Amino acid sequence: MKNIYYLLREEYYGQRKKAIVLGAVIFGIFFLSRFVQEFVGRFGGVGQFDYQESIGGYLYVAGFIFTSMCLARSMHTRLGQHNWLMMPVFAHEKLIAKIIAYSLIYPVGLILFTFLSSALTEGFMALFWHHAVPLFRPFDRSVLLMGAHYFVLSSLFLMGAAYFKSAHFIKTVLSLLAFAVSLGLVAGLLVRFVYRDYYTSMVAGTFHINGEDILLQYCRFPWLSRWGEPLGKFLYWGVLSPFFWAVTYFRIKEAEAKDAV
Amino acid sequence: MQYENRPIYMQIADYLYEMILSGGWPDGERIPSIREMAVQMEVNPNTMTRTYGLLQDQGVIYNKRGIGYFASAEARAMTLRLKREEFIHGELPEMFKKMDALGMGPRDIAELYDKYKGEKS
Amino acid sequence: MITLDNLTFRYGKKPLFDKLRLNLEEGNIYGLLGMNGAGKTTLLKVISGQLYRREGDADVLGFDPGRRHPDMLREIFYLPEEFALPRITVELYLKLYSPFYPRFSREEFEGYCATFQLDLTQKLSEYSFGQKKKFLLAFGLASQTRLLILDEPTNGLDIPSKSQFRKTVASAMTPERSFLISTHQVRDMENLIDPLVILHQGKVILNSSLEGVSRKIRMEKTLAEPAPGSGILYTEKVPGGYYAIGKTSSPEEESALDLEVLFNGVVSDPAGIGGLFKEDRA
Repeated sequence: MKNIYYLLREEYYGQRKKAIVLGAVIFGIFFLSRFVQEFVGRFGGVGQFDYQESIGGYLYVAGFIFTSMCLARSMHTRLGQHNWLMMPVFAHEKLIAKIIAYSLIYPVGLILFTFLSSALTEGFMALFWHHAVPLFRPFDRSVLLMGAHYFVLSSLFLMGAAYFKSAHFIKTVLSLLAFAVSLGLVAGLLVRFVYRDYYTSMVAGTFHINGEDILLQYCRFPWLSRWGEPLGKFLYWGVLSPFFWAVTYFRIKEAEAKDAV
Repeated sequence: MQYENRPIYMQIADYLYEMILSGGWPDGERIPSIREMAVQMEVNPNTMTRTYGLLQDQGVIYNKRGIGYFASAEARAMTLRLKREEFIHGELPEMFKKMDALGMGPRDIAELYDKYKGEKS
Repeated sequence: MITLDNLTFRYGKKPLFDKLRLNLEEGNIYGLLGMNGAGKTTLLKVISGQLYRREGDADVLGFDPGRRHPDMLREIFYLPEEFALPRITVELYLKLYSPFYPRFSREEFEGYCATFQLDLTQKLSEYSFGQKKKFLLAFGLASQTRLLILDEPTNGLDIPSKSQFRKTVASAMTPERSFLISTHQVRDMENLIDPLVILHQGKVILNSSLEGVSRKIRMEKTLAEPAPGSGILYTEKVPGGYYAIGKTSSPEEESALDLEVLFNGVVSDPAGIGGLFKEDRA
């Protein structure tokens, strides 16, 4: 436990500059766009700014990029690696510290920061323009769900950070694309197989697609229609991230020095 | 045995003898610890331990448990005796050999020695 | 303290260590010598758990180094030849990294820094290479680890710093602590490193205290080239004459050792000269 705290503290001092820059960018964008909007609003109606919709980009894009970079120095540079390997902590402590920092503290911090920025911005707008829009609601269901998705998906980028020696983010995204394409092909074949009664020729037969009926009517495996969704949800929420963390753990544990002789 | 070719622990011993002969370490007084001397001379403490062991065996210094090392009561006299022995058995035969080779006798040397003493005083 | 037995290591297919054996005891300043590419750094990385051995047994401070147990790593400080320091202040560095070493002593750290004349109010990135090295050495010594691994520690140090380095290492060695120093700069550490470990062609061909060495071989500087035969094992031309290595006639007959000549001699004839120390190698 103590080691994880020390590792998190080190991470904080290493990353705080980046965090400050990101925070300044977010606040700046909120403030400027709101200010301009209110100004233009004087001369006629414009769309309402919605803080709920603004967070996704920062959360996912910036977060995945940060996560992708989080092992670059310590695992993939010759000099940085020395310190990382000699650090007197277990491999699982190193991993847990990264998960806490990038999958937990980051999204929670970002959500709270967005709320604070919206409060500050709207406070100013109310004083200056005598008009404000609703603040960001951090505990809104959509925001919480977004955070939960981020928590799960960031495990993929953590794995990419450990496995790819360079261009971690791009390579992870490309691998995901490649994986999604192949998964799509497999899924297509599966659908073709499961609903083979529906497909009477190479082209689909009767085009009466009316929601769930089709599942019950043509599915060769009725249990799939009942269990498919819960199974998928279980795999996504319960298995996906532990699996990628485990893979990352073994990569960290097996890491060896690259230089020498 | 060639004088310059002695192992390092004995070369260090020569330095310690010099400290005693020059009065830097007076008889009966406390002397620096092994570690202090090792640091001062930038040598491995284990080597210094061996040197201290040698001087201890000769009775030039002694160890008071828990306090440290001391020059023994007759450290200077003992050292002088040791160094004379060494000179008589080590350097002197070499010198005699050289004198022979150069055709010089004790009288030539005595003359030179007197001159040396005269210059010095 | 460290035992390697039949250790094998290779990069790709090329074997670097072949059934290497090495036994290091506590309370010593080991000097690890070897030619370029002999694998000194690799050996240090295997000992510290940064590289995994392929075959053989290894015991470092009671641990299998390949497991990288924190209890082992807490007792090892490794100063590499090249290193990276974060761009932070000394104060922050201590705050972040000293908690990993439970016996870290602030007082000792400041003492070593005073010896090395380091300005502790500076940022680490403002230090020169030699100052960074001295900073890390001070940190490592103050961490009070049982094993200090120093890879070419005098590289990049100026002349007064080399002297400070020797003094510091001499003062920091205790019966519980050991140094393992890899170096090409034998002259920088003459009289400091003892015992000597020589790594050559995948094996440790010498691991002996200097006393042990000088009881078995004698070294002599002569004006004329020594006649071949006459018990001479190795001759090397040096300024003003020749250095010859021969066998001692009795263990009491010790002579001064020139480590560079000794190294050249042992490496030129690992079986002959190195073979004299076989039983010391354990």
